[in-house]
Amino acid sequence: MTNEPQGPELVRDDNELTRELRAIYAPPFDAAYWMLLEQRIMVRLESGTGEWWSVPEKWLRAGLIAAGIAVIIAGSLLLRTQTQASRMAYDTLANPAAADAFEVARRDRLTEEQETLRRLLGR
Amino acid sequence: MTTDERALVLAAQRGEREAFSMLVRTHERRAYAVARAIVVNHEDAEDAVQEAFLHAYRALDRFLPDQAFGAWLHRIVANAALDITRRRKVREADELPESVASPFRDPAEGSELRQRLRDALATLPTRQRSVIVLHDVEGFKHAEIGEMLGIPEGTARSDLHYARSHLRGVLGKIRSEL
Repeated sequence: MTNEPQGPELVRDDNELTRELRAIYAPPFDAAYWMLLEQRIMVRLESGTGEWWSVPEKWLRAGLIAAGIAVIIAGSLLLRTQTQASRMAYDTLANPAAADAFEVARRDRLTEEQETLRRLLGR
Repeated sequence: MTTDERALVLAAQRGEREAFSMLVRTHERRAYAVARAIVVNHEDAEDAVQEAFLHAYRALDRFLPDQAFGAWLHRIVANAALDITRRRKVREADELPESVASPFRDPAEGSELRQRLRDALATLPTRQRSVIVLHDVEGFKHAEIGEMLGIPEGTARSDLHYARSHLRGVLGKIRSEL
């Protein structure tokens, strides 16, 4: 034999149980409470905007992609510059005449740059 | 999801705060009910709701507008509430036993039956307590509860059965003593 209620008694107990549970778990009924809760959520959301972790993931992803592209571009430029420098060093060793021409061209360009700078400074 | 809500979700995904505020307004009561079913008191439920909405805002771009926003949000709320419950258990391991006290606005706080029922609820495992409240008080279906709590539907059914059976026994005992 079991102590558990049966039939109508079970229904009565379940109804009573549900009624009591509803009373225990009743949400706040004041409309002002809900307005305040909404405001608090929105304030926390606004105040969190400056934090890195609060940036929407879409923006974070776009930022990371842009940073990645920038690193690739910078890397390829650096590589290109290094390749050019190596090639010029090789040319200098292999062909001293070409090296002289390069030195003259470099000096001329420097002079043009110095001239532009002088003009800009009004001297 | 209604057309209006879909429009609100899309606007919120574009970063319109007012649209998100409207979504909060529409869903905060139900979100609170879900959280309250899982945590032990009003304050924790409130914290869970706030955490959940902040998390939902940050994860909005992962939400597909064809989904039901409410169901998606409820899973987030349930996770936030379960997280708070776990943290509380760790914190209070050596302190007072868990209680389902809800100090604010209970008109029948003094009722002995209700108080003893509260105590009985406190002795139920978190999951069983959550299931019975989500089902009997909030009217969620077993499948919805299973999805929210990350358990199979069958487990939600058996949890409900055990929780009801336990509380019925307590009710019978109280009645015989009063």
